[in-house]
Amino acid sequence: MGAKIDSALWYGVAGASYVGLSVHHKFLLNWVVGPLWLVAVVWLGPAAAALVRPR
Amino acid sequence: MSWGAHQFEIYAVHAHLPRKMRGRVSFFGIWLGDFTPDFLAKFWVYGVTIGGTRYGASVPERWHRGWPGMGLTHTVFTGALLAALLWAWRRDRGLTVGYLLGYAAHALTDVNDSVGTMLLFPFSTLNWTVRTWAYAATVGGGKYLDAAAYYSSLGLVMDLFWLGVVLASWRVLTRDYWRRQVVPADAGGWAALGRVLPERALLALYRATFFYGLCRLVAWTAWAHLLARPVIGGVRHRGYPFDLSWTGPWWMPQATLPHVPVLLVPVGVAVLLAAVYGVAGWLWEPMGAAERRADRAAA
Repeated sequence: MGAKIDSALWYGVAGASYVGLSVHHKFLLNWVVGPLWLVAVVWLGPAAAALVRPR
Repeated sequence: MSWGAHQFEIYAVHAHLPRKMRGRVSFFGIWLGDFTPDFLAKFWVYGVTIGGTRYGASVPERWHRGWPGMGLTHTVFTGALLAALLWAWRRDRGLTVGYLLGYAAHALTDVNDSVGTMLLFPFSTLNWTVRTWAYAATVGGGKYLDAAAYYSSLGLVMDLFWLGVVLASWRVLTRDYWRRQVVPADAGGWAALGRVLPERALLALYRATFFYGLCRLVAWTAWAHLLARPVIGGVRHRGYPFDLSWTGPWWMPQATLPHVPVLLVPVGVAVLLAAVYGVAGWLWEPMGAAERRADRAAA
């Protein structure tokens, strides 16, 4: 997978998961959690996915 | 007040800097300047409830935007004062000018709600407002009612407008722009962050405020119109009613403070915006010279 597509995918995952959760748990909608959510998913997501991916 | 617009406008400001400032104005400065007014004033607007007792402003709009109150935090004067203090402390023109531009963007954007901001403070304590949508922070409604009202009114259009401005300048969100235009102006800050974060995370951090603005726009709008079941005028609704009329929504009382005639506001905003950019441009070179002198003295 291309690096740009991979990156876009993780931004999409971050957005969908954040909106999906925060629409039901509105306390998550603040300027600390939101930005940290993105950074955490985009940064740690690929490493976490690599850990669970079958070798 | 404005919601996602404040997150989007910092990228819009950075993407549309005067030519001589491109690549030299601090993104952190714009971010900090844009967020400072609400950092200083907003915590008490909604208040906090502890043990069934609410602690917070009894008249939110006066606390937030009025005088006496914290309305001075939403003025270009305070932005200029804080920028001058920042300059005296850091001798960093990119940071100082970025801070001033971000602060001014926040104060000027907020003229759109029905309360507005004291644009000519301290010379006048009258507010300037074009009353585009209802200021909706209330003692009983808190943040949720405020969000529902904003995302049911022309406030939603305002967020979409600023989103459109950023998307029209989409390069501001690219890795290449970040490397060429953003990092050089804050080389020390990004280098410090780079000691603990990989580039992928740094880029996400740069884009994070845009991400947050977009997500809060979608989430609050979805909640207000798909999930909420408000009772308005004794009638239960499936979602808060949209109302894109001027100073809407109709179901929200229009808080206001003494203000100048609405027709004066576009002129006032244009003049102040021109003044802020004019002064920043006029001081840019002398500040650069002073910065170099300070650097030589420190060396």
